[in-house]
Amino acid sequence: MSIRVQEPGVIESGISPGAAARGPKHLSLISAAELMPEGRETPAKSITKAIHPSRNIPLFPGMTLARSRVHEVMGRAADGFILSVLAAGSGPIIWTGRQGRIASLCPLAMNGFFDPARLVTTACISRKEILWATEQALRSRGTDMVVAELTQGPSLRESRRLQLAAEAGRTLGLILIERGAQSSAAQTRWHCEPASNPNNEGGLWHWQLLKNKAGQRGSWQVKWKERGSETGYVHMVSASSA
Amino acid sequence: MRRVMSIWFPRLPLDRLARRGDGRLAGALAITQVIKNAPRLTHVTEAARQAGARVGQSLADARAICPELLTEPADLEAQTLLLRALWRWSDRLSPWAALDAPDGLFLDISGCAHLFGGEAAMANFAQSELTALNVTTRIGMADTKRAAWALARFSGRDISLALPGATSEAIAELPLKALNIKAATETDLRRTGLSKIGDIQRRKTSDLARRYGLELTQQLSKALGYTPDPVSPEAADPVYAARMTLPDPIGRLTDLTEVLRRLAGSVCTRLEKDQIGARHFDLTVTCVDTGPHVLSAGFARPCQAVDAVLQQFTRPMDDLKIEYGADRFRLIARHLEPLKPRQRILGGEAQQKEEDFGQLISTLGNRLGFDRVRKFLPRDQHIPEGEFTTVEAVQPERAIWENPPRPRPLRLFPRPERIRTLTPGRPPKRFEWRGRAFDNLGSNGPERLAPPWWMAGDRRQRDYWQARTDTGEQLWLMTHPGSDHPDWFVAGCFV
Repeated sequence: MSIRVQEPGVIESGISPGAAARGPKHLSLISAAELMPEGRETPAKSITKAIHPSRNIPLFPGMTLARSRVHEVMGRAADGFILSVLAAGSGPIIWTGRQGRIASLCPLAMNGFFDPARLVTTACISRKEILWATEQALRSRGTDMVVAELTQGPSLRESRRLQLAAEAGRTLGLILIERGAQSSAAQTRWHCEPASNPNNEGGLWHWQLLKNKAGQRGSWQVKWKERGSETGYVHMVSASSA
Repeated sequence: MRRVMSIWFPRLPLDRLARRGDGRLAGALAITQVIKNAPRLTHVTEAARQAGARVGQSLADARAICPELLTEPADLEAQTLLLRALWRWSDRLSPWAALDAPDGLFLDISGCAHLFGGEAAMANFAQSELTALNVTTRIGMADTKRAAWALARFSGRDISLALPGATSEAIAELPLKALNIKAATETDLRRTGLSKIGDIQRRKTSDLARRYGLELTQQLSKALGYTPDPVSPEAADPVYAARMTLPDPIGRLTDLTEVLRRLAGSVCTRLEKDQIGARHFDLTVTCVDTGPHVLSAGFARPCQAVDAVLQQFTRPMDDLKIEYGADRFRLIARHLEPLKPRQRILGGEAQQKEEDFGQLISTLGNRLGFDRVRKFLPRDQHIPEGEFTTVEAVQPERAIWENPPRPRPLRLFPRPERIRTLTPGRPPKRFEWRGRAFDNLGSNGPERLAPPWWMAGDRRQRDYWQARTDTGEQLWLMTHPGSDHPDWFVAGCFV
């Protein structure tokens, strides 16, 4: 896995050696990213059980997403984040959301990231149904990852239920929030925006880790590389500060 | 001595309509079926017969002869179902009953007739019972299956009996058609002056076989009992159902669950024994005051596990309102499919995962409806919305996806959204969409696609551009070419 890192010194600071050695499966970084200074004086004490590192999903060099946890994603490039995460798994995926949103999904675009045959969509007509279906899917041992599209982020109580379900099913949950997030029990919260860079052809994103229960926050610019390219899939592009 | 009864239902399709109370039967009505590339009459009512319609006539001829003729196409499936129902009914006459499709039954009545007071009394009993069911019958009895068949159809009497040992005399007067031989052979025989079965009984079989082939002599020896031709009874279709009736009504959820557990245990044991799984279960709960309530549960894959049945019925049973209690229960398994027992692999996580996933699909489908839990399948069309389709996730198809030749957006709007052009261009240099202004920094295109001409709907050509905007978002712009003032749309968003 070759990572083109422009400022290697900076990226070192946040990477555990194990994660770097194992490397990401699908995402790599085009150029160096800069980690945010620590958000808090003391690292947040995890209220959940310890996460087994081998069950984590490698996202890009130095960053893994915890399995058995729920993660929130927002922003205009949230779709790209979700596809990148789904690309890192291999099992069945359930995608729940409102009927209109589900009807607009095009599997051909997913094919560059993962095999659309893994995906089962569930069209719901209310928020209650989406949350119920998501909880069922998270609780099931048969699913690998679950995506839920919500207009308003889950409340503390709702997200706690989802979190417990994800732990029971050892499933990775991704909540795509269209509008506002609320205070929740999610493991991480990401804000993803498309990076405006006229020289690049797209698939260039700015990912900001707003909340991280077990680790530091940070912000990265990453680029998706087509499946099949030798260097992996997502590249870190450049340093950015938030 | 073996004795066989043949029951013929000469008007089965008409009787089926009569049983449903069809008023057209009083007038000229005929059942039609496509035979030799033309609709022909297969059954006619008495009024139609008097008006000149005949069985075997083509529908066009019959209409010309009898303009007021009403017709009904034959429903072979319903006819088979009625025949099967009559076959089940016939086990009161003899346990040894076989179907004689499309419109008859064979019963081996050896040793049964004395229970009805003799063969004649038995035939009368059968006929009167069937008449009460609104079914017309002709009954023949003989020592052999073929002879009984011939007597029922060609004797011209409602009941015709051949005494034991007297079969050969009884069928001697019947036409050769009664041997069920090929029409060509029958015509050949008639040309030589042989028209009755009795005529050929007197000939040497070796001569007949040399001239007309073995079929004729074989049928004759079957009819006379020289060649064994037994009635092969069929086993009834197994019904995987269980019922329970309680002396006192129950109403508590735990009691209901226990009843369901016992019913499901009984049904599932039988399913397992026969290596069958069901994709649908119906539970009928009969309340003492409000009558029967049918609860249903579907399954993503064939199921024969009690726990899975209980789990899927949890919700419908929660929703069931019982005021004074329920005392009768019936669980039936439907949509049966063969389910081979699989070897449990120690540590077979993949297999367990697959089962869990199937159970999840069932859970989601039972609550939301199976039509809302779907998966994608590729389709071979050029227009973007036609390149894939969705099917219910319970369908067994497994898709094989290939990369599209050109990039496609993840969000493909079923209805493209119109944009307001601020700075014109092809595509627009600056535009407004969803209340935000975008600068077009460059675009790939056009990709010109035409919907298939044989499809209904909007058949205008479309040009697509993949546009990079100043906000970093990539939009799929669309327009219909060939217009001076084109309308522009956003057809989708790329990731």
